Amino acid sequence: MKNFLLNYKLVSMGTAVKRVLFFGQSKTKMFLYAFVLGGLQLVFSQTQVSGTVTEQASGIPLGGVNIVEKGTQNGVVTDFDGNYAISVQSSNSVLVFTYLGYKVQEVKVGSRDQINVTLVEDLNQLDEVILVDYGYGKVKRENMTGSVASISNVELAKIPVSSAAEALSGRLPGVNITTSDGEPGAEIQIRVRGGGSITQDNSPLYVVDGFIVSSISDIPPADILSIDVLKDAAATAVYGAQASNGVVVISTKSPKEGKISVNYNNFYQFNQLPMDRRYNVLDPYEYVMANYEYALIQGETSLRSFERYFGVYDDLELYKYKNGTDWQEKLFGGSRVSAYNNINISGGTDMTKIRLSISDNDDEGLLQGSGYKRTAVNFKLNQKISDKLTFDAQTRITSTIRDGAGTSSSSQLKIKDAVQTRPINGIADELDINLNSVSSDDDFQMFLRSLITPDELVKQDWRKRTDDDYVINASLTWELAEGLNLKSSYTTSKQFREDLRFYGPLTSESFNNGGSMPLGQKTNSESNSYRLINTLSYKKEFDNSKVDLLFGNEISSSTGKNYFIRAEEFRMSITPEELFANMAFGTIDRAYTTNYTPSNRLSYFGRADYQLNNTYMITGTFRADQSSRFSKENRLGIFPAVALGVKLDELELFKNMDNVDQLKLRLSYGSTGNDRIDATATQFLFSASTLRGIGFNNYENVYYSPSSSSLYNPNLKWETTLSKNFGLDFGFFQNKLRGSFDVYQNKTKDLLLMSAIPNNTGFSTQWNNVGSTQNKGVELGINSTLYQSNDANVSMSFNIGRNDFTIVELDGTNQRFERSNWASTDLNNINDYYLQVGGKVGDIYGYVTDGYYSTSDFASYNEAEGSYVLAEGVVSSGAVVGNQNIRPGFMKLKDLNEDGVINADDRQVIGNAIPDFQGGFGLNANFKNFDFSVFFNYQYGNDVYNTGKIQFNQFRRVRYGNLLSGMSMDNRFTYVDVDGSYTGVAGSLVTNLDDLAAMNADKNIWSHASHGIAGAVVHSWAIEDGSFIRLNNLTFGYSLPKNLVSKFGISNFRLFATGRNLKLWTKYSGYDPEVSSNRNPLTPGIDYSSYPRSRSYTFGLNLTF
Amino acid sequence: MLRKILKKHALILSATALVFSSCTEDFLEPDSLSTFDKGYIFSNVDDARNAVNAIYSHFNQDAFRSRLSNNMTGNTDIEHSSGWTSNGDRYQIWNLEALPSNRDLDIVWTYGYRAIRDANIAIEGIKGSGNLESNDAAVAATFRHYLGEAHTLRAYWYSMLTFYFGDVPYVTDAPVAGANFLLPKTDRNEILTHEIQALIDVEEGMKWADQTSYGIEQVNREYTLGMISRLSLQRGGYYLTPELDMTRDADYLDYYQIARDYSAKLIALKDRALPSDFKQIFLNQAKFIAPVNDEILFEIAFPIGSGDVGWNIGIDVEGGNDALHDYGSGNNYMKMPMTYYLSFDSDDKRRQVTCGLYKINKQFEKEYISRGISQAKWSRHYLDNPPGKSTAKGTGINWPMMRYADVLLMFAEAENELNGPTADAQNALKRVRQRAFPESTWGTDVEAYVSNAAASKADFFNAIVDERAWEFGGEMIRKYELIRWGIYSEKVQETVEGLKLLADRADNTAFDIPDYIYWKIDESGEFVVYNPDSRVSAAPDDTWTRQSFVASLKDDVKVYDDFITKDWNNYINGPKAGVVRYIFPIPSSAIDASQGTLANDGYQF
Repeated sequence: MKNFLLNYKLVSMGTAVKRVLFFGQSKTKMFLYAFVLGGLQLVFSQTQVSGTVTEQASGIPLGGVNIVEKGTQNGVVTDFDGNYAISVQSSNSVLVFTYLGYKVQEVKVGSRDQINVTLVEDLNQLDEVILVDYGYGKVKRENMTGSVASISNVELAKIPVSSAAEALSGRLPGVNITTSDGEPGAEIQIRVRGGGSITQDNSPLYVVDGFIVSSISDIPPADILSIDVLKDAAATAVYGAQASNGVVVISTKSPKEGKISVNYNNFYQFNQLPMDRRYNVLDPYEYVMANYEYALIQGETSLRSFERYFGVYDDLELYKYKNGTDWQEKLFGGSRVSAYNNINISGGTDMTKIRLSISDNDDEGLLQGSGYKRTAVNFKLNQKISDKLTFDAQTRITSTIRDGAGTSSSSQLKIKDAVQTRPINGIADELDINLNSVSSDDDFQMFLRSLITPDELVKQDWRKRTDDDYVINASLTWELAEGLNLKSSYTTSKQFREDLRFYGPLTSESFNNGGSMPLGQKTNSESNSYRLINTLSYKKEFDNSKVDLLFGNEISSSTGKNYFIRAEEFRMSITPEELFANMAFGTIDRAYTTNYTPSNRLSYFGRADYQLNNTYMITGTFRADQSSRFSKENRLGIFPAVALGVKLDELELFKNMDNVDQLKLRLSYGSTGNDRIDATATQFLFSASTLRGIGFNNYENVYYSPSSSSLYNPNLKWETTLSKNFGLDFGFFQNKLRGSFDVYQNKTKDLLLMSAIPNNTGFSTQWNNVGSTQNKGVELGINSTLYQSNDANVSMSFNIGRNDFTIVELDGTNQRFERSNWASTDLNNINDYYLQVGGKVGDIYGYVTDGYYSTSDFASYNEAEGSYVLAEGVVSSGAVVGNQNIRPGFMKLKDLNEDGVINADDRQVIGNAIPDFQGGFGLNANFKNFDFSVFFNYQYGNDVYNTGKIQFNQFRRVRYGNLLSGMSMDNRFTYVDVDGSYTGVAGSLVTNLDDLAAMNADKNIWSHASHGIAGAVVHSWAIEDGSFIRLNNLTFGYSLPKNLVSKFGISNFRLFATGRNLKLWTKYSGYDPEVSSNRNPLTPGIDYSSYPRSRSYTFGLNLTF
Repeated sequence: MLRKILKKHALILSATALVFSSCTEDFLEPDSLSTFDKGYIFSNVDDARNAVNAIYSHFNQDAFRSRLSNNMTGNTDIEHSSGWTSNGDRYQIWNLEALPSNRDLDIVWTYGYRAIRDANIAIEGIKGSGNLESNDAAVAATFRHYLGEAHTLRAYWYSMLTFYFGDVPYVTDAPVAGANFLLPKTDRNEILTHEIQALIDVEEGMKWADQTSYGIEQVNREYTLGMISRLSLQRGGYYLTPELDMTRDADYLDYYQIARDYSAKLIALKDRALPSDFKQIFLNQAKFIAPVNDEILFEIAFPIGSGDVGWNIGIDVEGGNDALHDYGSGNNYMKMPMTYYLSFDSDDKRRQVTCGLYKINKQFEKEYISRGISQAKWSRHYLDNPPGKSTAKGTGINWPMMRYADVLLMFAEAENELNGPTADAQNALKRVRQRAFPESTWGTDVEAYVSNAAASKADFFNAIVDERAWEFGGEMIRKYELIRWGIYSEKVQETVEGLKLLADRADNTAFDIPDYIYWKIDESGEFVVYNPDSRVSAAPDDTWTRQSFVASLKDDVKVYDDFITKDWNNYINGPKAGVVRYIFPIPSSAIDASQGTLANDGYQF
């Protein structure tokens, strides 16, 4: 006890309240002892000192300030009003005042009996988080042997976002944050060191306040104290299963005793689609001409049908005077507003502390009708039951509503609709057409249906998702003996999810499966999980060494159920809201219920830390996990790790160097596991369905079919990652330059992968342990104080990371293909990603663009057949682009192997989606009451597979579609004799080779008619450099003078304005190069129908009472 | 609260080490009440029924509903569509130039193999359940029947896959982890040989339709016997080699023998009179009537709200919100050429049932249709309950898979091939024709016609070829017959020549052909044509409306309408002249996942 207290040196290190949590126990203990000892000392002491502690800037009294008589264990804490009284041994005694986030102050008592102290905020180390939760325990960062990247609430507070994960973007070395697209509430992917695993779920493990949770999207940033990302096995191995993708540890703010504080934060955000990121499309005249030309080439039937809708050639000039609809503007235009409000109250006594936080978001999405609303309530209780027993409880209740179906895979609306929908409807614009009538003429009907405007479609493609989440944690800590603690914690979470999906009569779902009437689907799912963790920990200090032991076990289980109902044939006028309130108006089509198979895990783990001379550290961990997802023989996984640390700064060599404040070397080696497969992936099971069942007796009969669309595999076993890490933490020049440097190698074997199998099995994929991969990289993070004075402070941060994700071994083969599947089997060739043993992940595989066929590539034109004859030795790309009727001006691909045929053998790696390096940098500054911060993130050397560039420059499965403006008549190869100067008849098709050559002397791109109707080809032209620098965040803040606001009982009143995504420097031509539409880690960097990222302007205030 | 926690705490302390050793097993082998293993689902009659239903469920996918059962079965001498007007998926198929990326082909391949998967699971599950040997005779009999259903449906899908893709991977085991899935192509005739034998082995254990729960909506012994004959004729018939030759195997007569024997077996065991009302056979499907021991042996049961019959198959119905009727909209992709319409004997009752010359307009009136003759056997306006103004798909109308007339004609054909036009063969043909003609004309149309046809084996064969066209028009099985007879290109060539001839003769009064027809709606509301087969200068009275008929085959600009010269062009002048390249490329999805074991080699792809 004595040692423990003596060792209790509080270094003032910013507002890291977390420290209170860790030391809460010892602190309260200390309080008690101080009380007792203080009482005892009254008898012997010479001097009684009292006084008040206030904050310098505001003059507000500070409660909970620790006061220790230097060199003794004598200490007290200030009360609510900042008052204290302490007896000291003599007038030579020195009092040490410490308070979180404030500079330590030492005061010699002298002859005074009244000492009033003002504490100054310590801005220097505001962003330093010194305690790290590294698995069932906490450690001072300086004693950490593992690799950790952290961000504190001080930094977070400056980034007004509604999601914590979003704020991390670019800030932590080795931690890559991607949103699949810019949809509000879109799931944010966090990848630690590339994410070693290649199963679909490659996200890290999330631990909030010591409790493992499934997602962090329900935690409002205002509640977060710090986020630590554990990156190497030394830090993560104790979590065993699930930890192979890193661990994200979040600590939420804890109540402070003695001081009731009320905070209010608010902001309004205006979001818009950045003008400079929009796609430019053809104007109405160019649009009509492009379609005229297309029809002319297609032949007479097409031309007749074109004329029917748009008129004859001579009239087309009229379209020069027409204004087209800007569909991007209609769908994404205008400014959308988001509002955020957060209020939190915290405080308590030394026995009972509580904190309550309520946050509310209301975001409008860029896409019409989309939005995100969330209310989160977070309640924390810390109750001391006796001096041996402490009880902690926490409740998080979150309610989330997401409106809109987005533009991703399950939506009916795609970005294609915003770009390629015709800007005008030709003659139909002048007619009154009944959209709900289906004509007997197939083509005309197609045209009518395609008349549906995207903004009409988006209204009928209605979706509302409501999630209610309840998380309850409780833990009891029992101090069995000095240094020996038994802790038992229990978490239970329940999630209720409602997904309402409405399809209006214009949607294809209604047309195909709903009798062209409104229909609705309602899915209610409920998931629940529990987790019970028992740990026994023992800490002991000897003269020059420390031991910290931990042993524990964990039981976890998650399961859930699902209820689905679908009703059809509602009256045409019904609104979605009305429908879901009255499903009885429709006819029930399907209803079913499912209980999920639980996923259970039983684990034992242990850790031993040993520290010698405060210089040498060794940590050993092991974990044994048994997962119910595997079959019996493969169930057990054992994951050991060992790490070494040396504080070089404590060695003689460095001790004398003035400018070296911290220098720590870390080495670690260990393994982690992954069991993220379906709960029943090892079993061949069946479930009942009526979907499209056979109609015996006229209704859909129930049938049993395999419960998974992926074939089972009983032999699946743990995926294991072996990780090595070498790291250096440093602090130079009075810690003005601080940072970490890490080199690592993570090797993952027995990868759990849904591999493609021939569909003649009746399945298209099967779970397998396939091959192994390796992530190798370096990371550097630096923080630096550039200038510091009493009323000004400038600091900067910089981080950079490089990760090479390579294939070490495949399933016996040397190469293998993966598919992005963006154009399904239309794509020639569907295998558009390439994996090679020894190669990098992210290789995009396709054809090499070779411009277009010039007139000199042709020998002649056959008038009778209407076809061109290629010159000797010129190879046709026709089979690949799906259009054998090749013409001059058609897109040309390279015959790489020079065999005279262009086919799948003429492909090669045409780009790689993995960046050479990425990271961020920023600057923070304070001057008096002003604060300023700017942050950039960047990525270099990656390619983006821009499917929009392919799709939007041709008419793939689009009838009378629009094109990007790069395809204008001035740019593309054309065939129409616009004024009749070549053929004598205006609007006729030019076929003569010499005439075509003359007409197209200075064109720079092929004709949009190059491809067949389903011809999608990935070729090097569509692979673009995705390097970028983004001005991610720019904030100005102003805090009202404290002496002014304190008159109103306010301790802090800050106003701020923030711009997000203000500028993007990139060569990329799509919406945004920071994109990955596909969740499959083997097909990164593809941009397919991604919802654009908004640019936003935020205004808000922070208020503390 | 606190005590509870403490209690739990204490419990946990002691429990951790001990309790888990005992309950770990259960904890680590959780299951759900919503999933079932194979042992369970084949343990009893009711669950096994649901397992067998899985095989049928694939009929309710687009792959079958609109594609395989209909669109993809053109073009023939009696059904066609214009593939050259677009390069969309179904057009590529009509034009016989489908790409490996064709989605229609892809879904047929995908769902075909899923159905085969479910059949294999059922076969294995039933055999392994022990229920075939059950002491309860009823249980054993039911399981024997299920086994027959599974085998028959698997055979159906293999028949289709081999017709469309030639040699394909032959999967006969339920999928099991660890097995080699990279199967090469198996010779199509080897597949058929096995499938036929499998049906022969199970057939006797099956139940007749009148002994089953769902009658003709479910596979029954009649259908299986019929399928043995049909598959045998496919096996004994011609096929296209990768070198683009039409050939048949030397042992083909063995399979004609099986076809003859098994059609004869059905006729012997379960003969029935052909129902006299030809129209009613198909009307039943729209009225949701499925009589057993009648004409139809097996039909696909579409639930109400599903199925595409009456949407892209059948009489045109113009619907929509502004229509005065509630039947919704429907039309048809496959049209019938005029040569087919005019090939019918004037007395043949089947023509009016088969060939739709009218549409239903928005006023719910019958009106001449100018866009081509439709598959008149079905229509959404036959439904008893109009599905709604704006409806399109999902009529629930069933689709026939085999009729008894087919069995009679298969018998006649096989018998003729083996023994010539025997009395038995003639008799079978006669039975079909008797139903088609009014009894008053049987003398010429049945007796004289058949004895005339029986002049030689070749004549009789030709009579069978013609009879099947008239009997099954619009039922979309013609393509398979033209293939196995080896006369595909020849027959479509005849059609094109015939259409050209009609066009040439349209203005020539020397030929008695209906250049114009006169139609009206008679007192009973029927659409009637005054001169379906002859040239008349004027209608008898002004209740008739004149419409260009044969005259429409040519226009002022061109000699022949485009469809005549283009719809069948690739069937005549394909990669090899005079041979129809009816085989399509194996879908990209299958090639790509095969790791090189499958390739689209041959057929000049």
